[in-house]
Amino acid sequence: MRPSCRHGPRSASRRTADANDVKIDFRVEGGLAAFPGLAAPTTIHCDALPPPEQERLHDLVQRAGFFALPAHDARAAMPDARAYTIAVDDGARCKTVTVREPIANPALRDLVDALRDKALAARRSR
Amino acid sequence: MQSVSRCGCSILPPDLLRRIARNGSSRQRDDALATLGLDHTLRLTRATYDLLDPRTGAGLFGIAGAGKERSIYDAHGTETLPGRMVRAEGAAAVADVEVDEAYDGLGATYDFYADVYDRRSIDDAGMHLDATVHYGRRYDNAFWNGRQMVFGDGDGDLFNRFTISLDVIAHELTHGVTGDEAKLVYLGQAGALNESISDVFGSLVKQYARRQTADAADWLIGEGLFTSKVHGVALRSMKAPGTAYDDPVLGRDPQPATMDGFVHTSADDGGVHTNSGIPNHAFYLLAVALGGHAWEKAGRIWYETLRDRRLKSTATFRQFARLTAQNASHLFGKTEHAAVVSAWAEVGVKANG
Repeated sequence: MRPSCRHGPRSASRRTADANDVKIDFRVEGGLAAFPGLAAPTTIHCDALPPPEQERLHDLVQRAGFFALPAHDARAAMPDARAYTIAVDDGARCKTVTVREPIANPALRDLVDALRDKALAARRSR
Repeated sequence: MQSVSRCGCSILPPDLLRRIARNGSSRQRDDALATLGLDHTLRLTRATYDLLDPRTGAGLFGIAGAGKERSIYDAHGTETLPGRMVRAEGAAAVADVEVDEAYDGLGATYDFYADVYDRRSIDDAGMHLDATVHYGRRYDNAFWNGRQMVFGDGDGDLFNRFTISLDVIAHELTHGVTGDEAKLVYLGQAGALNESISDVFGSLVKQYARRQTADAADWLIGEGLFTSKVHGVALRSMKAPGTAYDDPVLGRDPQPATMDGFVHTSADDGGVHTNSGIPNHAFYLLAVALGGHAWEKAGRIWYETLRDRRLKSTATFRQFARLTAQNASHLFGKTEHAAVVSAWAEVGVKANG
């Protein structure tokens, strides 16, 4: 199942985001081959990360303008290019974005790189 | 030797720039390659593919090449395409294995299509073959962006460099051929056919380079891509789909060999990299049944089907299979027609009637 925000933010009554309490769901699709292990959705709870990593992810979400991005990538699929689905819930807002490679937004690209590394590390620790 | 101005509107003809790139000093070589890169990029920008006559190669700007025209670019770890040109057609090898593997891989793929099917490049009109290497940071993928091939260095942990496998380079280039011919949409069964055709000709390019017969070939796609940490031999196996890898991190190869295992999913554009195992296996079965060099009969039947005007961009496995059976009759005869029908039947696809 793809990450989504169908249920809205976890704390709808809250008005401000908390960098420590950001939850990110991440999923990779496509690429030169379908790897079930790499395609499994991953959830990253930022409050479980060391403070510098929390701040970096929060900063990348802000710099990417994540909450203003279109929900879907209108470009046609390019053969073997990957698509990423990211759902960010910062307590006040929740948004799901699907973006295809190549990614022009540098901060969004860095965010995808960081999430890919986190997802891989999580799989290795299982 | 004259100096080379780094200007996008170079006054020097490309042939002279290529000679400077081959024979000049280190600095002259760099300048010539940079100018060729700029010039080539500008010409590509001006001359969209729509302006080219796909049959004659006669373009509005006359850019179609007379023969093999490769350009390898280096993205230097960025995701900006195409990057800086580092090796043009005819230039000597450079001290960069990815650059040289891409150059040689494009050459082997061009030669295969030209020698075996009399096809001149991706569009059969001499289109330049462009590839970018060192794309992205620890980028573990390769793709075709509609105009060029793109190769990452791999993460070094799970994946080696993506230029390491000739069949992967040929796979990417064949996406360009499919885009020029049948234009199979990248979704569902048509998308799986698109993927399978890239695997079929990717494998045939490797077999042709090794002059292997069907029974001697490994029928693996992407052998060498995995590091020694991964439990697996390749990305896919056309001979035995579903057996290429079984790894704690990557998971288990999900490809089915027959329609009984067809995967219904919305992920990966409808399972294009999963269900491609079915037509892949049909091709393998046909090639082995016919024997000899797989590119001569089985490959010819698939190639002519890819070029068949009756093949719809939204084709299903069954529609594609029927055309392969009809083309086997037209091209060869009853024996080959029966072999095609039998190969498809073994994977659960009805190719006759």
